[in-house]
Amino acid sequence: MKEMNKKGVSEMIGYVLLIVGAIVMAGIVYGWMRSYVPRETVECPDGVSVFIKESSCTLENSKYILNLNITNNGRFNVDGYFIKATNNESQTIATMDISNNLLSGANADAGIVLFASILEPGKDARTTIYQLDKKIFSIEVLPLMYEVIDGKNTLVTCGNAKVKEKISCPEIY
Amino acid sequence: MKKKGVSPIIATVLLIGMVIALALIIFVWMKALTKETITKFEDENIELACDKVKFQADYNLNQLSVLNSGSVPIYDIKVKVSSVEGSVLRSIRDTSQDWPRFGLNSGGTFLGTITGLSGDEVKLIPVLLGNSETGKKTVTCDERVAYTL
Repeated sequence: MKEMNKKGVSEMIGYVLLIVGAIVMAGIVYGWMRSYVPRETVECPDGVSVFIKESSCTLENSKYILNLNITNNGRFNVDGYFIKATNNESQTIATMDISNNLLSGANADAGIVLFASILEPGKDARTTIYQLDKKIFSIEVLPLMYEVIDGKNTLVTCGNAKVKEKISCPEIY
Repeated sequence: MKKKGVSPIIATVLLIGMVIALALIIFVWMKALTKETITKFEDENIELACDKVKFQADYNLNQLSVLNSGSVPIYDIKVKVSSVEGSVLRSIRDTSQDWPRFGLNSGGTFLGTITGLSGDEVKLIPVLLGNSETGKKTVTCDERVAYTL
């Protein structure tokens, strides 16, 4: 029988090369795909809901005084809200931020109105009072909450729980 | 016969080294071919952030009002007006001085005069600001997340 003397790579080296190649390719794909892995979503839970129990607009010393009573009728705590107003009847989306016009009942900071204490489900917030220079026709309240995500306190806006209320302010004669 | 050759251990080390070097060369080459990854919110691809954008808009008497009702800040909005003649795309940031400098944060609003928003279809396409290896970059989201007036 003829002795065959074929040269080739040893099996062990072959295995090593294959494994190393697979690991390197996996690393390349991981690096590329990593950014497509969705992170924990910052979303408002479905059961968040508030409603404006009572609102009134009066005129005092040529300034409009807006009183608001907000109730949490949802299933989750609410920390505060954004409040916007319309200053003409034809406007459908309220864009005028009146958080800076807050007089009492809550704390306002950087466009956000925070309740004096976290508003639990079924509870009424303290009456908040705003002093306005212009007549307003409606307000929109967008509740917000703080959630701990990845160890950080993150502001979550609950756009789906927005409430709108028409406001009747007296005329200045 | 006394044949000289490389010891098997050295050969293995050399082979592994060559494979790693080759893999690195291919990786660098592929990276140059693929587009730069732009991320938002701690290394999440910005295209995923586009899916989370939520905003409302209204256009009446040449006044465009926008409310960011989601948690993703909107850096700019591109307005696409489509008609029989074709479509025109323009940026609100470039068109209106009332657009906030840093965009619309969560709960933020915009009210400004924008003319010429009449056509068969008017879409508002959000533009987000993300991070890349070369700094901050803007990315226009896909039209499927656009708000149609």
